[in-house]
Amino acid sequence: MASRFFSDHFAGDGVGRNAPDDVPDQNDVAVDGRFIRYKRCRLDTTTSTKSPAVPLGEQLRLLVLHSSMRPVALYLSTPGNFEATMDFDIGLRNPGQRNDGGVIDQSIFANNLAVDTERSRLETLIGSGSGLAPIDRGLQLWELVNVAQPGMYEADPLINIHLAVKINATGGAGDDLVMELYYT
Amino acid sequence: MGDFLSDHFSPELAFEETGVDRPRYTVPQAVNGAHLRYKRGYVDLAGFFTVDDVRLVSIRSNDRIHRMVISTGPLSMSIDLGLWQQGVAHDGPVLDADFFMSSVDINNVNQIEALTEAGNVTDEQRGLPLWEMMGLTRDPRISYDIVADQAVSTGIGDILLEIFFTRQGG
Repeated sequence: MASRFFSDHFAGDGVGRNAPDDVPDQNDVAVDGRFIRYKRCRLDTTTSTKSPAVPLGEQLRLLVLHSSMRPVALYLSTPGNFEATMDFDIGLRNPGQRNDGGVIDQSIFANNLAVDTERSRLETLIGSGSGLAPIDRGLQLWELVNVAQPGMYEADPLINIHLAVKINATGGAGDDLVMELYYT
Repeated sequence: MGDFLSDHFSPELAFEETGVDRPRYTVPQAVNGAHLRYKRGYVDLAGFFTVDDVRLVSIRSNDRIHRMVISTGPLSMSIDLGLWQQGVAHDGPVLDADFFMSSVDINNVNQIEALTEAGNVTDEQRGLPLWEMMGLTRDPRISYDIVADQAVSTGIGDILLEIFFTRQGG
């Protein structure tokens, strides 16, 4: 006998159901027509007074996110003027008292990503980091963290979270970088 | 000789300006600065057979779809993706089972094109209201279900459908 399955738009969690919920179509508006929002940040380290300009282990805090937002796409652009062999991780950190909070997941979006050549709107939300799969697009940020690190949160912690880069090379010349985030 | 004007200046395509007074034309807001909207429908199939169908999201006949993509995990199946009537409990009959995608292998894919895959919608039609994409002569003012239909064999796994669209009125 044929079965009719329903996605999470009709049946709660969307897992293996074969009938709609009693009240269908009452799903989260954030995944059913919510406006797409945009954040953009730029960080230019070419004028850094440090030596080297971006030392090994340096943190670059890029954007303030919220645990309940749903990232749809994350793009990195950089001209390719970083020192040869430069690579970095893109991850999440707590804000802390003075933008100095500890790591949540250092490489959830990118792990040892080479940036010594030009990157033109490289999509980094999925595929470059650790543990996220294409089907995870559009999940809430705290849910993404739980995918990469199961059990981190029991529910949405309703906190701000920083998008941050960690430098993995010995440093050298700085460069310009732009990060663009689309989300609901 | 007048300049040619797009559909942002005239209801006619390739209108040539003649300098003659004509009624003021109001561009549909849905193609002139409307907010871009997002839909995300996810399902984890425990066992999906040729005779089954899976209702992913609902869409209005006057929604203007710009981009529609599918992502999946590891699963062995190919699907049709099309339009079905909603019915009284999302149990309506099929309208066009492979309107968007026709027998496409979706094993472990990352945002593959779903809107134009079957060839019924072209790139030039992106952003038209759905009823125009369907070739209807007027808007029926109803909603449809977008449904995945198994083309062959059986399948187990996750499917994620994402739609980027605008809607008249904001």
